Amino acid sequence: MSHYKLIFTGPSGAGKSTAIDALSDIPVVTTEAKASDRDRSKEFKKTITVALDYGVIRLPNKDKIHLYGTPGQERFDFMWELLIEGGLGLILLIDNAREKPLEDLRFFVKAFEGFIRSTKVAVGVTRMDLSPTPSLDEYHKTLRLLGLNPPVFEVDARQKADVALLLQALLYTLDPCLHQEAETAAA
Amino acid sequence: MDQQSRQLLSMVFKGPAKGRYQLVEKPEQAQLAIFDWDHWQAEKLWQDFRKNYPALPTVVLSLTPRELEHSVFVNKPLSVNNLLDALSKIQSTDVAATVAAPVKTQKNNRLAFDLAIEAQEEAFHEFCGHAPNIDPSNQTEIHRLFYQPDKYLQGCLQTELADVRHKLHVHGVVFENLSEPFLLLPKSNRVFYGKGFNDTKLHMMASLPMQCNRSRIQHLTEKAVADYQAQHQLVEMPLDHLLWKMSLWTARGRIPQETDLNRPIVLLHWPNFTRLVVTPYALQIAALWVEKPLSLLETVRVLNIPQRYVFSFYSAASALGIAFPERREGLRAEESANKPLPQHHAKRGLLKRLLAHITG
Ligand SMILES: Nc1nc2c(ncn2[C@@H]2O[C@H](COP(=O)(O)OP(=O)(O)O)[C@@H](O)[C@H]2O)c(=O)[nH]1
Ligand SMILES: [Mg+2]
Repeated sequence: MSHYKLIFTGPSGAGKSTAIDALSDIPVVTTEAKASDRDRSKEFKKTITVALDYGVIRLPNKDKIHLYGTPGQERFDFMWELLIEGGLGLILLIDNAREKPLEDLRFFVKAFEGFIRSTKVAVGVTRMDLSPTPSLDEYHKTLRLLGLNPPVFEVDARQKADVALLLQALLYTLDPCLHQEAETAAA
Repeated sequence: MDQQSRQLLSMVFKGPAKGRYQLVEKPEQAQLAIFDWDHWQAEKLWQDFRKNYPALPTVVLSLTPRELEHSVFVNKPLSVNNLLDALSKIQSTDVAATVAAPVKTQKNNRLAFDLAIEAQEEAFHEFCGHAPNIDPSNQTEIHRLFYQPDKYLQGCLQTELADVRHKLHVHGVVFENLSEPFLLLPKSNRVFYGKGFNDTKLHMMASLPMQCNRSRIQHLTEKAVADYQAQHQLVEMPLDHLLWKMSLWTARGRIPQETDLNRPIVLLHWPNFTRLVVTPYALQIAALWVEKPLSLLETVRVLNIPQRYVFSFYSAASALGIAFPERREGLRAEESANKPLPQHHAKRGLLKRLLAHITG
């Protein structure tokens, strides 16, 4: 049995907890995570604690996918880089009803830049029912300027089908031939 | 029922319904049924259904309200809550009591989907056709791959759109040659149409060849748009949703005439799939094309899927203006030609299991 991680990020109120809850086999919990700050010298090594949303998907062969939701940018810090190490990919939720959603988008893409480059990201734009602008086209333009062309869907985090489709898109982005039978032996 | 809808229902049952319902394979195993009244043969299917299962409690989904025996009606657009409400309502009425319900444990309520399913299965046929692969070197067969958007309502809409987009004073376009009111707002990318335009009708309109009669097309000023909206009872839809669906129905697994089968296709960006019909393999094709432009035939080969699904996706995405053949010349073409194909993911087995888990 192995453990894997999927990371959910975005501003507070974007629907991270709701989305994790939709996918998780357990009710989502807010938990504390500890990580050691490896960047400093040993003497100054300290442990940082953050609150994060947590859920889990249990697969039939006992593999577990841990679902982590980061805090919004107010409480966001570099320790996420440590926590997400080995993560499969990133689900980025942006609340379209906040004041400057495209700035939120840039913030989170930059914050996770390294992770996104080594894995993939899928973007869900939430609360479009409350605020239809900016349009998805503007999201695509902003992302293109950041050198990315990921799936961007309108998502209502309360609708499991929306969240599940976003996750499917992330998985196919990681491997477009996922539907094919042949496993690669090596790798 | 197609895989997608099955998965959707099964997700609803496992998730929001907390396992209270379960899909069964045959109506005779079912304690409840769901029926989609907007299927084009709904009337006939319903009669057959009631002949065989006269009192099976049934949730009827439709755009237009109906009163039917032993059934609870749910208005579309369907929401999870509406569906679950209807299911619990029909369980608690006398209707449900007339049905022999074996071991009625909370967890074991079964649900027939057969008829809804037939309707849905048919739906992908309607969208993607069922044409077998065609050998592109066979000159006598190759014409079957193509259709002429101009001969259908799709082309008529697209021509009008292209025509008025830059005309500042045109705020709306009304098509008078249709059986229902139909208003296009090119500036805000929306359409408004009469309530009678359910999917069945739209499907018919989309698939029948028609002449684009200019004299029956009106250009409206801002004020005239407001007047028109006040005069008619209209339903609103984003233009992209309509174009997507309509081009799928019109194309039925074919591609616009003169599309080059061997030229790489550029996909500008992913379509908004949570709000569009997701045809089979559409997610895979999008994931592939944003990474590396590939020709239609190469895409068929790389993904190893039937041609019609690649063609359907291309037709719909090109109607939205987000997919087109790459220009042969230029740096970009050269750059993309040199890009490697996306690699198999190192954890493919895991990703497949996760995918199976979320699609139910
Ligand atoms: N109207 C609307 N509400 C949403 C949508 N997505 C999520 N919500 C709601 O937004 C609120 C905040 O969601 P939450 O999951 O707590 O956000 P988090 O701070 O990112 O964890 C909750 O009440 C959700 O039900 C949406 O698309 N539309
Ligand atoms: Mg939260």
